[in-house]
Amino acid sequence: MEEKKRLSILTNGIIKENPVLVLVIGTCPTLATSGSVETGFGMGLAATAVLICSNIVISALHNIIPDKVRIPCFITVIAGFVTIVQMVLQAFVPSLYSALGLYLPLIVVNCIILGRAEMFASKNGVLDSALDGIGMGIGFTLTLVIMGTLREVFGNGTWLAGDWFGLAKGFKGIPIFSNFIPGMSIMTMVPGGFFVYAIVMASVHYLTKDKSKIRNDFGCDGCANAGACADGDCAAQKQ
Amino acid sequence: MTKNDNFKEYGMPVVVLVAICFVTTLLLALTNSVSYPIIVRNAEITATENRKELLPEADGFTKVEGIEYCTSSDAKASVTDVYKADNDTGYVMTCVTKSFGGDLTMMVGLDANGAITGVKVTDHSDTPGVGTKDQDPEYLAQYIEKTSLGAEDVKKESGFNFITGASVSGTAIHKGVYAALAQYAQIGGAN
Repeated sequence: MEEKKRLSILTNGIIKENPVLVLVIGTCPTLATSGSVETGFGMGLAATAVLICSNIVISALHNIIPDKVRIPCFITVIAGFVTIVQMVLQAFVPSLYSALGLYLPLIVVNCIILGRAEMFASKNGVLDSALDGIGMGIGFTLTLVIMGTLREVFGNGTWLAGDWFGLAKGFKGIPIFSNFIPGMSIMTMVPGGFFVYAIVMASVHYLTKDKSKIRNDFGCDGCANAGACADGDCAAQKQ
Repeated sequence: MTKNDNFKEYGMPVVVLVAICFVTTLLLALTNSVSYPIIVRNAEITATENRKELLPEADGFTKVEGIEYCTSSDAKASVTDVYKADNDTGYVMTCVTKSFGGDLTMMVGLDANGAITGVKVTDHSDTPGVGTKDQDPEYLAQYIEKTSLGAEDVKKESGFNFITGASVSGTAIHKGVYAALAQYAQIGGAN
């Protein structure tokens, strides 16, 4: 039973509670770094590393952190890990460091990390929180890779282009359309990001037949305007 | 409220937050002590590679010491170092200039006759996309073989295809090149 629960914590983040597609948090970095597979994958890995570390530390400390200062404490821990990741990348993987640029320090304010600290790590044990971090990280990375694939293939006509952290310097990518038609560069820009985001999100909801958890929990009571809803229409619609 | 409760209410949060900040700072200092030397070494290697790329004929570079660095008239762009080719084939200068998103670092290569051999942006904080179009090698190739520029402002430069809508970055780079040419004139060529 215990093991089954652990497995579900790990797999929840991938589809059922996917941070980007179902919980709809961490949208900014998703739109910003999913322009190509390489940057999306790099961002996913960096965020996952920070997420696992911060989840572990926060769940270990949750008993001694007073409720009043929990958010500043979480942010300090997260910012510390992000800066460590930043320094390590700058020293050992400079190509990824320059590819992620501004988005790397912005992991500090990535909703997924603070959200999981608040929603999960501060209420659960160390092992469960680590598994949650891994699951959520996989879900985030997977979404970025899928979106990056769509945006790169349609926007650039290639797939997997990039330095790949210095392993394949100057790799131009596998040509998909680039030999026949020029890429639609709007796909690699922000509007294309929104477009692809919507398509991927809709597909996931369609494929999972709307069984994603948030959808089930969200009813009239979950709506912020439920109290102010005119003539109880809300309750009537619910039925 | 007893003294103990008071401490729990007001003292404990402060103590915990300070302790967490202290430990975090300690870890950061530790990481920095390991990564900083590697970052500096990497930067030096990249800078040398960039100099080689801009002035392929050079066999090695030595920093020129004891000169006064040139700045643009509005002090937004300035030369920060000058390296001379060991075999007297030219100079490579590093300029830091104010662009749209902050400081932009670039290198300008000049041959023995004072003609530009190449311009390269090595570090910037501009918006990717339209703001970085001025950093494309095709755009920067317009500077190659020029020995002088007509104006500090890229928009006043005749016969030059600047990027409309990104003239802040374009002008920043232009001022950097201008400063480099002035520096070249000041140190009196490659002799």
